[in-house]
Amino acid sequence: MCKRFTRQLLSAIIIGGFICITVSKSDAIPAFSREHNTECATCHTIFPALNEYGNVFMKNGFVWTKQKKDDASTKPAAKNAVKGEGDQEKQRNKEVSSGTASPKEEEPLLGAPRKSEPLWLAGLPQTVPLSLSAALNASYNDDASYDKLDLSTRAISLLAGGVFRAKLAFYLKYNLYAEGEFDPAVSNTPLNASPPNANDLQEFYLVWRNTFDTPVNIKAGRLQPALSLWKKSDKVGISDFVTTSFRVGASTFSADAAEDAIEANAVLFDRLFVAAGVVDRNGQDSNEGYGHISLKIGGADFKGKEPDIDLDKESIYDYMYLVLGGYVYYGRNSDSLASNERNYFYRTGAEMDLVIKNARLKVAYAREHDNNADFAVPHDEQSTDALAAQAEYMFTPDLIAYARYELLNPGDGGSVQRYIPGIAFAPIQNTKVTFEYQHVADNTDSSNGDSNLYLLGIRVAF
Amino acid sequence: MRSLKVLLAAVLLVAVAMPVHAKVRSVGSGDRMNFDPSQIPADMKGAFEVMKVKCIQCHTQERTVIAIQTGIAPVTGQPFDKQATKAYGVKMLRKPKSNMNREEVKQVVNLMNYLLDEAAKP
Ligand code: HEC
Repeated sequence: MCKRFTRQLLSAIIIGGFICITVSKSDAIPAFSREHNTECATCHTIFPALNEYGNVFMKNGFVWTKQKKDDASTKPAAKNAVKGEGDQEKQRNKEVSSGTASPKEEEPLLGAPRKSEPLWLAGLPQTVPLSLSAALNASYNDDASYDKLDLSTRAISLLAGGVFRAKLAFYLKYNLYAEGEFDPAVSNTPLNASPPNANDLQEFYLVWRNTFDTPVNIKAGRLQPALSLWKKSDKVGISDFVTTSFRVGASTFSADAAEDAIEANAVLFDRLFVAAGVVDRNGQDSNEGYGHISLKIGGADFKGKEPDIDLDKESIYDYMYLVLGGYVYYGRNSDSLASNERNYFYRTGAEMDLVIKNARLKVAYAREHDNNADFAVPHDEQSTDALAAQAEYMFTPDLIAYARYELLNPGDGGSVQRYIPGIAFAPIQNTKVTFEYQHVADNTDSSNGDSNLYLLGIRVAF
Repeated sequence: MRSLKVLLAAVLLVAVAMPVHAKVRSVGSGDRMNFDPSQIPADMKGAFEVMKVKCIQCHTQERTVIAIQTGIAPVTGQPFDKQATKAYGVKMLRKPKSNMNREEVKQVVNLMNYLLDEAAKP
């Protein structure tokens, strides 16, 4: 009995698996933790999924938003002396705070060292802003004709992020190593692929924060355009939402791939986020464009300001927030520089993120229209629809279960449905184990049918 | 040269002698750091007990002690004053599995306000 159980357990572990496509798109940045001397839970639920404050931190170019200067609540009371019988050495270290103001602006606390002025003058973060993320994965696909069990997918990425003098933020993700079917950076700029290792650099962008003292941040480099409410890495599970990851025909466009772009974005009226950008695709003589808008109702606003709740009255609304988002992307691509066969396409999407206490519901819909996705003659116009709905429940801060339903209706007939339950467990905040099951019902083609996939991923970030 | 030494000694003496009256005292260090219970008035003892249990579930009391003593929130570097205490209380309350209720947070916010007043006394 015991032996059987052990065997079952073992086989469950072994068949658990992960498939390449989506592993390890991590953005969890321990570098931020180190710089701000805080735990992952400050910005994440289970990394790399962001909580509302992580989202604020990202939107604001990796700076904790300061409340407005004229807001009375921001004027610190006369700074209090560090005195008492506590561990003063430790206190002093803690006071090296979060990198926004200059050391001159931050009055030194009595006896406490300031933030290093030379480092500040040089524009440097206080710590080396580097970290690593590594994932080991296993997958079992009962539908595969060979190699059903795949234990050999692993990936290591170098992550860096921070801000220079609260003005210029940077973010970098470099895929150091990937093995197995893992596709490190499904690029929207396929014509960049010729130089060696062009795909290794998944993202590298700079953000000019509050350009000319306006609320506008300008972001440039290789980046994931602000389309969906959730960045590719912002997820508890393993696989990506179909609504952002699907592609049509031979077109390499997907809404969650990094591109060479310039984006302007801003938080307006505290609860509205808008972004617009242009994308440069090599070998194209005109640029592509996109726009995003989202609105947050309830919870902390996009600047991280807490809702003013009444501590005398119990209300479920205080533990609730809703984010609504929409986007549009217009582009064109082809399979080679020499080809005259272009595909003009646009993608639109509408999304919703609802959090009620420990429960969360994400719903996403996307539609793409392509006029020649196979770059063929004659043109074959088609529209593709995708829908995803995911419910998540946080049992404890280190354990989240989720279940997702997905539907993809490709323009050329049939549909693909996926049922994806999973569980993510982070015994330590920087270490997580995810188990995901996918049941795929594919009737786009008579040769396709049902298949089952088991994914197991272990990821550490440090 | 000698006078320089005397001057230096005098300066040092003044520097050392100045901050003797701790306004908000803490006891213990690191994980065991807390506010010195002897400075908590009788009507705040209940709130202090709540704080001692509820505010150390996810981190040590050190964070709150430093916030009060320095007037700066240690992680985000934001001002930690009487206008801000409620927002911090609410932020902690709204965290998943905070295992606190409003009444408890209200008491802790009042206590933090009292301690901030004490800390600001000349
Ligand atoms: C559910 C876990 C949890 C509980 C319970 C909790 N905290 Fe926190 N606290 C955190 C986390 C995570 C942070 C990291 C920074 C942040 O999220 O603001 C933090 C940060 C802080 C900070 C620093 C804030 C900053 O911006 O630098 C203070 C002060 C603080 N907590 C005080 C308290 C007090 C007082 C209580 C009790 C009322 C409490 N905490 C209860 C999780 C918790």
